[in-house]
Amino acid sequence: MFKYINNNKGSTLVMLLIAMVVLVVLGTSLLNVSLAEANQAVRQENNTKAHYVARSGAEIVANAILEDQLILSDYTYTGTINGNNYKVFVENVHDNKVFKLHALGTSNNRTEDVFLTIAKGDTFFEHAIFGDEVLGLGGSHNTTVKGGNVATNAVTHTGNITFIPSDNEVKHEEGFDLDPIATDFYEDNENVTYISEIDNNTEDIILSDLPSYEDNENGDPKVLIYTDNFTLTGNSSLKVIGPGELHLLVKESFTMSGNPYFGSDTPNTKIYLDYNGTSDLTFNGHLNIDGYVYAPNSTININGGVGTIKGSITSKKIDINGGNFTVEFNSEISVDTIDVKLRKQEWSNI
Amino acid sequence: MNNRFNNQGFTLIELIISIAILSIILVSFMSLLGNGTKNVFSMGHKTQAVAEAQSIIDTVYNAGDTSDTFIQNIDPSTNYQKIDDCNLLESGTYTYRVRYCVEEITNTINGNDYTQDVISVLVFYNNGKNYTVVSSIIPR
Repeated sequence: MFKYINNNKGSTLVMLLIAMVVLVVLGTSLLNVSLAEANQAVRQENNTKAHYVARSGAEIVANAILEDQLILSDYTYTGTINGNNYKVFVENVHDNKVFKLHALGTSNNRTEDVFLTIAKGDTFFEHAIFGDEVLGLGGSHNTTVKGGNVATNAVTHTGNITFIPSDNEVKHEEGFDLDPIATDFYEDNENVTYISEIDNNTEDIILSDLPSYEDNENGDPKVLIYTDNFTLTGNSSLKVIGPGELHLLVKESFTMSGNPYFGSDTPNTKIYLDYNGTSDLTFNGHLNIDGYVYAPNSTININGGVGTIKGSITSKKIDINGGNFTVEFNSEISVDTIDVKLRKQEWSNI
Repeated sequence: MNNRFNNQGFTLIELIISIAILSIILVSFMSLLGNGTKNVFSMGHKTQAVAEAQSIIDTVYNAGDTSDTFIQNIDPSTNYQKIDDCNLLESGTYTYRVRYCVEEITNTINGNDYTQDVISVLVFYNNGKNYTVVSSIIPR
């Protein structure tokens, strides 16, 4: 037995073989690690490039949709970015209001995809008061904002305003573009009522007596009126008697001077005032509106008066110098008569 | 029983031969091991370069600003070499680690032309021996 155990003859070869096996194993595993690392790095590089190509494709098509408000259905667009191909498929998900872009990008046989949703929505009616270009809160005004913020796209604003609760604030550079009023929706609607001038002689507006373009969720009428000029002076009064919704388009001028009254005292009566003129919209007197005042092309001037607006005041420029108004923010606002633009909503991976 | 206490070692010739064989094997594996290690580090640098290009593009994309003033101040400690002609982005000698170019591209969608900016960022690694390029549209 021992003769064989202690016989060292020929052991060099065995040791050599063992050493070789160890080195081969070590070398092979290191080679594997290095190859795996190389593959992973190259794969990751191509995935990254493909992702940016896919996102670029989506951006190219999104830009066209947003710039010209294109309605694309089942539309496919292909192109290249720096030699890498992308393919974008546009799906009209919901009635020309929601579009989903599925973009595929390729780099050296690696493919990545991204999804972008474009939809009508996300309007500027997220604020109690919104002045696109200018927000002036000077003079001796006594305006109170309840339950909402005040905002402007301008870098700064002047003056102060009272907030309840007090932690709400004036926000700057909000980035909301004002959408135009859908004047066609008024003028082309068979149930619209046209009144050339609304003035001191105009009788109270009883919604149930006027044609309705549709019923709201309570079964009350939604009424469209458009007029060229709205002028109330002295102690005149124009009441809107509901329940229901009044969408009032004023095309050229809106003036309330002296101590007139405009608004509604009846419950569940919404008033949406769309002012499409460019001259200043001036408030004085007494205003009582549950809805909004929207003037995308002009300056809203409040120099005096008293009143409540439950909803939102939004315009190109706002100059509040006097008056005793309360603006109670309410997000339940109908945008039927606003041509809400398509906007980018969200990026996703599915 | 005599073999149990046999203290005879290897002969000198045996040793020399085995060392010689081992050396040949080791030398041939050394290059394999060396290249493998070098490759691992090289790929690490590649990944870092891609991440840097990605970071630059994301910064420009989020700001929507393709001006030289903005790009060249993304990281004050980095030199960003502007290349005027994007076709020449990958040519020329290695001077700075990061190069970029911005060009306009026009796409026709639904019969209308739309022009947008494309930024391409090139980042060198392995002391300028290799590079990666990432490109993206920057919305205006």
